[in-house]
Amino acid sequence: MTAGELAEITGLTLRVGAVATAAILPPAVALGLLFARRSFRGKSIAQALVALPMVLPPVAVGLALLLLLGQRGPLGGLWSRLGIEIVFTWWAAAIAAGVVGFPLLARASEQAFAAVDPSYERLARTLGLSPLQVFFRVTLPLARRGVLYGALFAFTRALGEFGATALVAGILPGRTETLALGIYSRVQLAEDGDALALCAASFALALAAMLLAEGWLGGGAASGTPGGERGRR
Amino acid sequence: MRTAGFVLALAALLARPAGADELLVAAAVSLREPLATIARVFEAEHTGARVQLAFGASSTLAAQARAGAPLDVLIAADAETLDALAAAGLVRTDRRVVLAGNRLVVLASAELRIPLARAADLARPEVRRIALPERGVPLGHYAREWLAGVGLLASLAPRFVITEHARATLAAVDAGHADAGIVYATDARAARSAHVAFIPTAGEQPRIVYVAAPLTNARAPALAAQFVAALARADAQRILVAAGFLPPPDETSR
Amino acid sequence: MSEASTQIRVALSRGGFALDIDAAWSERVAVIFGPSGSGKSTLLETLLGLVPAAHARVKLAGVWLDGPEPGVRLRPEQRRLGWVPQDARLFPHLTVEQNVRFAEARGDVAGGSAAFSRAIEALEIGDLLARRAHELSGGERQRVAIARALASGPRALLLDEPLASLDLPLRARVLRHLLRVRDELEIPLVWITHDPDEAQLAGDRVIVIEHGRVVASGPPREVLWSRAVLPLSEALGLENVIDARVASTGAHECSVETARGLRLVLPISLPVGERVCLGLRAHDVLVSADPPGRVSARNVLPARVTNVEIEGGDARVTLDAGEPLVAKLTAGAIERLALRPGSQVYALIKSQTLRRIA
Repeated sequence: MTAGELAEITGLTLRVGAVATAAILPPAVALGLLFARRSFRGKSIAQALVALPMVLPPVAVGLALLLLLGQRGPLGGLWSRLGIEIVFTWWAAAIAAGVVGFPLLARASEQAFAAVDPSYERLARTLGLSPLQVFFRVTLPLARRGVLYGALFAFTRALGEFGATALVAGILPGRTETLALGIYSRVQLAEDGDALALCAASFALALAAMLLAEGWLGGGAASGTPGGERGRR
Repeated sequence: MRTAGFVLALAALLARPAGADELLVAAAVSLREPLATIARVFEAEHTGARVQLAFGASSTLAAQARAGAPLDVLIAADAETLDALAAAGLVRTDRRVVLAGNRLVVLASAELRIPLARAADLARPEVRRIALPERGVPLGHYAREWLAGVGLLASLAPRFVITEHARATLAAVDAGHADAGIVYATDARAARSAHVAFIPTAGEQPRIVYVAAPLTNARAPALAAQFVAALARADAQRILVAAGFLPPPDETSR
Repeated sequence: MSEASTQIRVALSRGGFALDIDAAWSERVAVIFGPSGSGKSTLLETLLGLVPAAHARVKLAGVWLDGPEPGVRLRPEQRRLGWVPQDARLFPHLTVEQNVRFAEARGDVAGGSAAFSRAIEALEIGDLLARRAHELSGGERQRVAIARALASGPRALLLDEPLASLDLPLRARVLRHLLRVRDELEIPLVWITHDPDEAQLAGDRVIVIEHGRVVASGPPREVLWSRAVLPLSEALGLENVIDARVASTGAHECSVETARGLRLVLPISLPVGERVCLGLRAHDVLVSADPPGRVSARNVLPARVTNVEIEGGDARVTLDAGEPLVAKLTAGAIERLALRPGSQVYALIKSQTLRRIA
């Protein structure tokens, strides 16, 4: 394996993880907010459904996606009419990674939002901010630690996604071969040295992501949580 | 230097659009080394063309093709796999090429204390695990065909360790996870600690053929057809034979 | 008579608690007074538009926020009310300055940075701007919360028990700031409290709420010392409240004087001109029918009895000593001193019994 191949696999993995995380960020955060702030009929069923990709075997998720997105699936036909190919492209890897990462981010967001005292939001409303402004200026900043950790978990889960990805994206070198898939196929080929090099790249990526997240959070002990002012009633 | 190259390549890759003259060739994993050489030769002859190789069990690759993988050329280790795809209209039969033949060998791990000289030796109690792929994989199919022919399939079946494809079978015996394994003669060349114990006799050998065809919906149909055709040419044939493959047997003699 | 500038009609029922408030007033500063659990905070949240379930007709500062037609209601962000919550609720992710400037995000704050500067100055929080909520004392937090409400350019200021979460020494300081804000502002204030001192000092009018209903409404002193409200206000610590300024000062004491000429000596040295609000419990006021001779009490004030109320063995005597003062005596003492409205007496006040409340 050349440095170019290693970079190609690492770059693809990074791209898959970044695209997957970025794509699920808005809906997963929105859903987390919904679960944290509203009660409605069928909420626990909805929560269980969202958690499903987390508890199902990834291969089962992959099969479901394959049936859904494959050319004979209900959505695959639509894509191919539009001239878009998904299955066995890196988009498929990103979709698989996104789907398995979604529950992690949604659940972490839900918990982070639930920990935000709603009185801050009410106060912000009285200061003239619309609900949307309140979300971006108060709720999200107060929950940012939890949401960011959720995004980090989803991202690192995406980096390591194997089961679902192998089914919907295949292991096509240079196209869909992410680090996890590359490690597996190289172990199968008894190329242990290359497999270890890919493992090292995985480790470096995960470590970099975690350090970046920690740096972003600033390590400020009390800055992120509203703990300083709570419990004084 | 490797690190710098890695970073540069990574940066280039993150911005890289999909190549225009790119061929994705999916091939039986046993063809790994010679096909890599053939692809390089092909790239040298076709300026701008880039051949991307994906190796796996022929059955896995066929499943991917059926599911819509963007493959341009498929090379399988048996005729049936491609025939089935052709029946589904997924590969072009008019460009189909038989490029090579092969033989089965029995590998013994370095740890196995007894010598193996014939099929019946596989039944000895010291041979606790025998590596081979599942039935759907061409090698698995060929291995079972041979064992059935010598009347050992049923009695040895409990000792089977199922591997993913030909190279994984080799790796399993090399690593000592299995005491013996059934692989192609060509794969045995890549063995590190395992050794060829014996070669089933010509009479026992199943008929092994490698067949290539372009996919019906290849993105670069002309280039795909050229690549398939190139496999039958003399230079490619020399490379295959040098790697231990047999020349393509006459298909009609089946 | 012109229509009252503030009209509130609120009905709300939740979890066995019913709030049914009907009140109207035109005074600028209204104190909503009542024990905890009486529905004061819920009323305030209804005024803020934060209780969707409430049936409300609310006119504040001359503007209809709910109604007058049923179903017409402004959203919380449209009401422009400056809310100071009970425990400050400073946004923990923001600095003091960002908290005070918070409303600027909506882009149309009347006065903009001038409102910010005025709020910073009035609450004396210029030194705190770079800090975060968790780095502030309780009193500082409350002052920042008031500044935040002020800087939003509100049409009215709504204070929810602004001192309740503070320790006693801090209260005096924050109350001083609040009274200053009260005096400098021209917008209406709705001030919720269960502290009779605050109610007497701050309010132009007090509205007494118990069990979700208005039980009395009127001038603070009159209402809180009325026979009907007295059991409640006494239970909550009703006392005489004297609002004065330092007239002269010495090394160990100073002399303060109210607007109407009542002079008192305090055993502390304070700068001349400083506002001093004092609490004096009714049973700490001694009454002498004759001019006392040499007594230890530092303050001997000539006064006239304006009212005498006897209840069983207890009596309440209202004196006019320049300012109204209530003394709590026994019924026997009334008889012995022959106190009746019009009697000329002397009120004796030990300076240690004068507690500074602002």
